[in-house]
Amino acid sequence: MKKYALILALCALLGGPLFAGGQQGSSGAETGKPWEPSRNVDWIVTSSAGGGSDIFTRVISDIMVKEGFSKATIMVTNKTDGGGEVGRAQVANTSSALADHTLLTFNSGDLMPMVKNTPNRIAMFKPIGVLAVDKQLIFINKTSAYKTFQAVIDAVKGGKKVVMGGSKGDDIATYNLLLSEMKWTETQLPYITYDSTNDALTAILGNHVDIVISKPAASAGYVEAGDLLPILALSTERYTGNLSGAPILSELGYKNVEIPVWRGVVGPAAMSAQAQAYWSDILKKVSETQTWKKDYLEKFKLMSDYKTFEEATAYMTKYQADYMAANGIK
Amino acid sequence: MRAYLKPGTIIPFCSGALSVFWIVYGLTRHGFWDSSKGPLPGFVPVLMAALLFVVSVLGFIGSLKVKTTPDRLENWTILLAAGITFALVFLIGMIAALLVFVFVWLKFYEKTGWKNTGLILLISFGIAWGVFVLWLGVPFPRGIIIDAIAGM
Amino acid sequence: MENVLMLFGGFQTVFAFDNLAACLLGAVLGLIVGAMPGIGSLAGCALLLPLTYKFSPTTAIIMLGALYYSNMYGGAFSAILLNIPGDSPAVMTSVDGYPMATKRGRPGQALFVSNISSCIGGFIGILILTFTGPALAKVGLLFGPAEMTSLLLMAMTSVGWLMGENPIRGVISTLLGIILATIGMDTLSGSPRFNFGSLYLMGGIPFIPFVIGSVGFAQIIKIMASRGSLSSQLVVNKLTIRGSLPSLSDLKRLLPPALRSGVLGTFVGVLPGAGATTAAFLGYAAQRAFKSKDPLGSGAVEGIAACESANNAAAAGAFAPLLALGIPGSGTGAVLLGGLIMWGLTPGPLLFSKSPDFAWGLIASLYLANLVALAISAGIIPFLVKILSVPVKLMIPLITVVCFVGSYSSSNSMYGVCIMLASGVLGYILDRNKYPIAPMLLAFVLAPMLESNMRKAFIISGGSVDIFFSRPISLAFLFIMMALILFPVIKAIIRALRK
Repeated sequence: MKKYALILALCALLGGPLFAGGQQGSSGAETGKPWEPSRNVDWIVTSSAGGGSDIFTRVISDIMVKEGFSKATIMVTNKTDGGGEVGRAQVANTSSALADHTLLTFNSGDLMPMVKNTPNRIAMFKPIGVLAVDKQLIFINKTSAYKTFQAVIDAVKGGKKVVMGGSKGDDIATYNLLLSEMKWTETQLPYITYDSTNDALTAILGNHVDIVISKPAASAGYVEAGDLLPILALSTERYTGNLSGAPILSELGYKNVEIPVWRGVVGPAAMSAQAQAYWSDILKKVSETQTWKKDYLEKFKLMSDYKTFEEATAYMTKYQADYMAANGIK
Repeated sequence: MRAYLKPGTIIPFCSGALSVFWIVYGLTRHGFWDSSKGPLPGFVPVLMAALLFVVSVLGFIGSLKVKTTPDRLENWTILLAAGITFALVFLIGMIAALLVFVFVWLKFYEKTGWKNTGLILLISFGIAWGVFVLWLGVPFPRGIIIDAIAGM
Repeated sequence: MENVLMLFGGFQTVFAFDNLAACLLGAVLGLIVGAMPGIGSLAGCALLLPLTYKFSPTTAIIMLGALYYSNMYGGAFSAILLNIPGDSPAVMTSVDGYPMATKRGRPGQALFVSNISSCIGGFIGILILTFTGPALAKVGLLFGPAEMTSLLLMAMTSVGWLMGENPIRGVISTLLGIILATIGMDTLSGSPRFNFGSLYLMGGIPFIPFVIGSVGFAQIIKIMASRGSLSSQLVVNKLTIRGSLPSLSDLKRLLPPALRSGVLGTFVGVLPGAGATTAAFLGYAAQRAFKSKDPLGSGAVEGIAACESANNAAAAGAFAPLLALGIPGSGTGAVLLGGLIMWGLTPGPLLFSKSPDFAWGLIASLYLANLVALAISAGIIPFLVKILSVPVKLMIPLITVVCFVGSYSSSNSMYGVCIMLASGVLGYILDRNKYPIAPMLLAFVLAPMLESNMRKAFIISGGSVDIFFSRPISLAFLFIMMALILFPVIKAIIRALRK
């Protein structure tokens, strides 16, 4: 009883200003009382501390606390067992009051291995939002024999084998789409999967692969120094700045190949609609802060792309359907 | 039969069995070699398991002559205690389970005096809570009892 | 000469009060983090990274650099005193360190030998880094999949040096390590292997709990039965400061292996993906080719010196590709790289020219961190060795607690504890039947690297083995490997002919 009284008092104190904001976002709020976290929030990250997802999560939770968007204590936990699958499955199966207080950082790079290697699907989660997207480019070493992507096309057509390097997940999906668009086989353009983009970049710096697929942020330093040259943007429009020299596929007479790499947040399937709306709203506030734009998006060269929980649900579901269709997964 | 399965032969016997299983599983599920791609996921495991099988057979033959003393049962009490502690973690949480373990072990199994028991309890708590929780922020499990209270 | 001037500039940066304090703090934290099993430099740096956002980038990297670096010192403490390696590079240290501390009753000397060798190795590494930094990093780039395959093949062959009196047992132990390492995700095909439908096994067997279990917890099971009698054996003769100091002959013995390993370790640290664990192992394996006063594995000063010097040198060497090319040589390097971006710097080939203060400040701080870590550990060694005078029956529950929290923290889950207990049983059974544990652990680390590089090489060559013979560096390693295999055979033949 004491606990309830405390929550009510808290709601009365904090509910006022949030009420107006919360109403618009929450679709199924029946009671009219906006939902508020009533205990510590567990935020699960399925990659190790210090990695991309970890930084993403910690920046967001820092902003939430500093700007006072949420009064709850947020505890970020790294659950790396089973390549992240264990953590994802645990979040998917969280129920009762805990479900409203559990968040999971979820990226396109998490969705792909999950769908490929486990029976878990996006329907086992409640998407809360997408915050940023990234795209990829193909790079060559400055000493490479191929100077343009047209030269690569000619070489492959001439029966030469061109070896491509890249990271896991997103990069492989883009590679497969590129293969099917160019009508090449895995023997003509073999792909070497590295553990990380950094490893793949190491390989091309040493000329051990011919071309490499990478996101703009990881390769920025090498392009600036002139060690790597972008030869193809896997996007629907050219990049700006020092990546503007790279053409898109439609300029070479093919259909554009683009697989957006997104970073988002989901909750367990058992999360209530009110909680889902509450968290979605907070993510929106975070995405509008200067700290987020300057300290995260700008530094990691990502594009802002806030999606509400409704948009994110549709987006992730379609993404999963596309991926399953492309890989023949039922 | 009993004579063959003594402690000295158990390792080559088990490693041999493991290698056979690995070869069969690897060949049927993961593939060995592809003419254009080279080695497949099963290549290295199967090759190594085949090697392990050969040395296991050699090791098994060699171990038949070796005499070993039987295991002292006492060695396994710590494993039993650790197993119980492991189960206890899910119930009452990591820190509490470990402290209960240290206390019961020292006081009732080893019959240690209060002073030493208290000292070791204090050091254990200092390491587990002071260093790992307070400083490094490791989120130890709280156990279902506390979770149930907090989750109400 | 230019580098020396830049280094002096770096020292000026470091001797600012903030940076000096950060360096000291980093060194102390690194020692503690390193000595705690389960929390290695990777987790240590990652956990402290958020703390540093408030600092200036230079101060922040100085602190993390010092932490990373002194961590290598701390890892040896628990390896020598408790036979529980604090982190993976310290696995080799426990092979000679623990016997020297217990059987020979010279724990203080073992710790001093380890720390002095660390300091020497680190110093060599930093010196090489200072004078050849960017050029050294370029040498690392020459190592592609084919070269790494041949190098690792050579290294694996030298596992043979570790096997002790019964080679068959050594080979079984090695192969068990390889087989266990194949469980989990196969990076190249992106699909799970030998996980038998388990989500947990999909990520493989985590190394840290595996080590804590098969070495540390196995040790506890082993001493259970003899805990009454053992306590007297473990009481060390002289637990005074003077009784802990190494003798002149200890110092004479440690110098040659420490110098050799320092150079070797720096080089290994520069290679992509190799890291301090590989360096420590290669340093130890190389020592087999030289004379040691006591046989290796029985508590030889040379053994401790060879691996401790190599792993610190590798830690320094790994900074060369990180600073010069923006390539992390290890997991910890990747965290530092993430930190660089957070602090608003662009890692990569332009770092040295764009932010010289930062790059040289870091290098200068490594010199300082090296000395600070040595000074601090020299100060605490006389107190640390007192751990060994605690009766064994009190140590048993305490070490069990450390095994639990350490293995849990490596991945924040009870799965780690589960693996720790299981590998404890495995380690005990192996040890009881006189199977060596070290080859299993090393094969577990090296085999996945060997496999992935070999398969990458085959993808590049389209399934042809020519790639290993047509590249000069690769060919050279294969030659050395053949020599290593044939040398004992030829020696035996010659000896037989003489008779």
